[in-house]
Amino acid sequence: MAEDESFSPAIHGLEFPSRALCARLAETDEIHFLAATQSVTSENQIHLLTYNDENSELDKYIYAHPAGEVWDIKSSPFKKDIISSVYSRIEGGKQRFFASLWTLPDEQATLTEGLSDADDSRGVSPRNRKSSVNTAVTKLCNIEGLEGRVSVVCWDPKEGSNAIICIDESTVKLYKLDNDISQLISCNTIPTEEKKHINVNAVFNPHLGLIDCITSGEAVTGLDFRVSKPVFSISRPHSLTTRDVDFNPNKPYHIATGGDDCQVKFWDIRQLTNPLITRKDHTHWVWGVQYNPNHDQLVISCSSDSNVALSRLTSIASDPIPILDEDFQDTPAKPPQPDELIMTYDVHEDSVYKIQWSSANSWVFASLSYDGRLAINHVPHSETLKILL
Amino acid sequence: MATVEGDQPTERRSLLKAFYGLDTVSSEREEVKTEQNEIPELQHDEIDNSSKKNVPEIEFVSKDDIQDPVDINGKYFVSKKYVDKILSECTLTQLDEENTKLSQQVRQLDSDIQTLVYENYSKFIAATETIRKMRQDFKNMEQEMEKLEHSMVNINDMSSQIDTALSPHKSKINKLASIHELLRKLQFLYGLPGRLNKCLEMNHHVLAVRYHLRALPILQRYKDTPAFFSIHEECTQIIQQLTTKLHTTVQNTSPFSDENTESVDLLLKLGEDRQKMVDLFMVASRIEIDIHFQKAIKPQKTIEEYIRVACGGLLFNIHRLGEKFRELFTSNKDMKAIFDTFIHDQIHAYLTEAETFLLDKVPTSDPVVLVRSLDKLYRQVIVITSDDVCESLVSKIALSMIQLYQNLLQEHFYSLLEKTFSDISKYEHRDCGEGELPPLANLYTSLHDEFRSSFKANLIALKEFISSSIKFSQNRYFRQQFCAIGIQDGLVKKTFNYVLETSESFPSSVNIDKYPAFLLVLCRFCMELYNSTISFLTSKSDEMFQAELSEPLEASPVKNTRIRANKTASNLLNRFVYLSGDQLSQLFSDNLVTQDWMLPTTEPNDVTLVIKRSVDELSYLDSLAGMLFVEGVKEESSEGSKKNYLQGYQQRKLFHGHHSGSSQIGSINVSRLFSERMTYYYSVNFNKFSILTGIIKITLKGFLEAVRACTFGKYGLQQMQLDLAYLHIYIWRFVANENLILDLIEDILTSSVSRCIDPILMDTSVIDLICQEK
Repeated sequence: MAEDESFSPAIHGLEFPSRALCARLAETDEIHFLAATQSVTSENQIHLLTYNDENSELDKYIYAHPAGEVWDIKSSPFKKDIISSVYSRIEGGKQRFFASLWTLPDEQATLTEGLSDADDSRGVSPRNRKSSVNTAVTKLCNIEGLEGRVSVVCWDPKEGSNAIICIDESTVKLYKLDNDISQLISCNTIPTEEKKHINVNAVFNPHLGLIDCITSGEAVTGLDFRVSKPVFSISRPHSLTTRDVDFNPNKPYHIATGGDDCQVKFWDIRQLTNPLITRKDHTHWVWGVQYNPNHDQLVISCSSDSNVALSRLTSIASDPIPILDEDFQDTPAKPPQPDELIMTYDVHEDSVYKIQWSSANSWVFASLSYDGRLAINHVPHSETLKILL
Repeated sequence: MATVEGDQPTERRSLLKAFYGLDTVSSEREEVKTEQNEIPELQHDEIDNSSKKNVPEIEFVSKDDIQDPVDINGKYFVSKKYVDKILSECTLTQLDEENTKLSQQVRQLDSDIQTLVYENYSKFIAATETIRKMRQDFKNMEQEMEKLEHSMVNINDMSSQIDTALSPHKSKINKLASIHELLRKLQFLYGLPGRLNKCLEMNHHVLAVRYHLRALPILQRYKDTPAFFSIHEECTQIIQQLTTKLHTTVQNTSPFSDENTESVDLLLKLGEDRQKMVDLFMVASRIEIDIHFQKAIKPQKTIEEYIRVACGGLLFNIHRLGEKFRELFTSNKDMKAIFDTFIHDQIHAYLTEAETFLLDKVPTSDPVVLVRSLDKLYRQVIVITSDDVCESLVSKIALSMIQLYQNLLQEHFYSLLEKTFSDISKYEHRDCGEGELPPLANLYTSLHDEFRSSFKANLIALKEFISSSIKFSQNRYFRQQFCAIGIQDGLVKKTFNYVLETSESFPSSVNIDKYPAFLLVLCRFCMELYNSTISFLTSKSDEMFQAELSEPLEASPVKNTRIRANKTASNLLNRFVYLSGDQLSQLFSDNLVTQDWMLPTTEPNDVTLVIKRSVDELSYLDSLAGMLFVEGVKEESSEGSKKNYLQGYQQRKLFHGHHSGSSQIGSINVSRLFSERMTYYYSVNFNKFSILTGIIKITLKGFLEAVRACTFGKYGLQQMQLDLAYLHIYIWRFVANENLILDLIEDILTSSVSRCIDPILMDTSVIDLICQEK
């Protein structure tokens, strides 16, 4: 922390326990994050946070999500106002899970709170906050055909594919959407080998290839939708449960996994006997791991030890293309930075379940802990200089 | 005695010598004796003794420094100085004594002189008479002498007359004599071929050569004269024959036979080329050695036999050849170098063969026998050549022996591990903690003790190599190789590294999940290595293998190995904790996920089975750890009893439960503000409390995470409340800091409340009742 005193995290408090967070992927100019609450007794909310990097201002828009407590929230990579959520509610003394697509109301139409984060550090008074909950999200459609506990919905980031996957208790389902992303037009069910899906996560392959998506659970499994079955599987890469998985955005065969052995592992899926690198920067389960979308040497991970870790892994990163080589022949080649933990962010007090890079600014990321604290952090300035220069 | 006594009365003697006109010191003593034979023996001794007694000290001084003026017996004695010295140095009584002593001596000397005078008086008279008689005789003598002179002149004349008469005959005779001599020589020459032939016939080669050599200079000189030429020719032919004969002998006989030696010697005398002879000798030697070489390298059943054959045959003969060579061709250095190279090559070739054989035999041989045999070989080789050809062989064999022992030790250790593991796996792992516990303390002790004694036994076996009776063990180079590279770097260091490596990797190769107790035993073993065994065994080996070194090597570096042992122990213990913690937390979360917590419709009246099982499991782990590790210190001292504990527990408001939805987060955060941030998978310490705390922390945190993924109905929550209370009452005794546990249990309860659709808690009195019934 000491090396970057100038920056302090922007913190926003949600009133209820929360574990759903995502970046607004289609928004590439401003830094937008979406978070949703989880309460069995009160009405749940979706918070849209817009963060101004220049003046560190944090604006919040709060929408109601009356359908139930949110377990997972994702945004469409192409349409700013479309989001998906996995939620549950009690019906007839039983907990039922659903997944739906929603449209967010127009930002201008909701009450804006332009409080700076300096005022916010102690938390905003609940009264102000409540007054903003006057608009609910509008449902586009339900994702049908789900059974039991639904874990996650995942959007294909590839242009024009218009696909989402949704994982319920025993299957992975692939849905095709129409061009407006407002209707489901087909569904393809892929059975998996795992007995019962608990703590499952999934990510689409951003590259074209045999593997369309990878799911994590007890095992890490790669799926190919054309043959509708698993292509590869790493059995128990993290002793008990693997809690998150991510694709390297620049190197097609590299993935990162995090799990219950407190470790983050990096794999080459062509060669799965041993991980490329194993990092242990946490003292409890790793719940989230994500590559920086532009600079894949930067990896963030979050854990139920309440910490967020930012690591630099130059040795397995994609090589930057040396464009100006001829002009800079005089300058000696820069020695590669060693693989190391750059920083541990300890702004949270409770387990951090979700972490997310911003889609608009590659130096900004958000983390959300169970107690409802959402923190927006920066990569240290010194580190950005090392990468850019 | 004789010299001491003889030298003492120098002064007196010289006076006597002057008197008798004697001057040889050596005869002095005898003279004195013969001349004084009339003096009674007793008296003579007295004089000698008394003089010796009186002035012993001064005597010695006079010997060293003759010019000493205070030496009373010395030549340069100055009475005044002596008196001054005495006066200045002595006390009155001493002076008095000195005075008496001196006056006594004076008296003594006076009487001595008197006696002498009396004794010799009669001799004076006799001498005077003799002189008178002689004077008369001389007159007669003069006349006789004149007569003699005359006769001599006559004789002289006669002699010269004869001489002149005989002189012509004399030269004639001389000439004749020389002619005779020449003739005799000629005769010898003419007879030479015959003689030589005869000698050859009689195989009297030595004589033949001697004759030939005698005649050779003359023949060489006069070989142009026709008469001599033929003789020379003839002789040359005969000698040619002889040479051929000798050559055949040399080639056909063993180089050790006298015949061969003689022939070589004769050939050399006959002027045969030295180089050629050396070559011949070498050819013969090579044949001889080849036979032995083949014998020596034939594999034998035992090392002893193999070395015995080589030493008795090959090496002994090489040695003999060397001596023979020196005897025959002493002078030439170049030739010696050639021969030495030859010998060196032979030995080298043999040793190369021997190395292969011995290395092959190492695994099956007794070190004592091996060392003895090597020693024998080494001794034999260093007699023959000063090169250190044998050293590298010995070093190699020794190092291979060490390697062998190292491997045996490692194999033994591995089998010990396997045995320990199979012993542990005999005890069925009981989830319920019932049944017999594996006797971990015994297993650990036997593992450790067996490893240690086998290590020590190996060191002792290898000590044979540097026993003081073994010649090569005195070699500095060997010592260095053996002790530093072989023992210190090889056996000791590598073995420890292997042991630690294996300790860490062995559990991965077996089904360790079911028998975590094995990790505890291994951890305890590595801890003991760190605490004492590494230092003990290393210093033991240093003591055994370096004590006799003139320059002891540096003490073996144990620090790194010990650090590694500590790390290994810690890794193993952590693995045990994580494994047990994960297993327990899996138990909890499986239980949570498989049940629907919305379902219960009545107030709970018993603790969930899984919770009871987990408590049993914890006490099982607790007793396992207790067998090998110290208990550790309890942080809260007085509140030990269950009852007190229950009260303290009830004071926490949490369990009375007035939770409303909005205050949930607040209560979590407030409790966190006052507690330190916890680490869950952390490195535990080597004591029971720390181990159990580690396990319980991991378990409860896993429990917490599982709870947050569930949704509870009213009675589901109450069941959780009851379970947690039960857990708390039964696990506080396993840990050092109870507050830690309480914090975690509170967290779980808070989370359960926040995940409940109808959060109403049970009355604590009911909970107490149910828990106390158990």
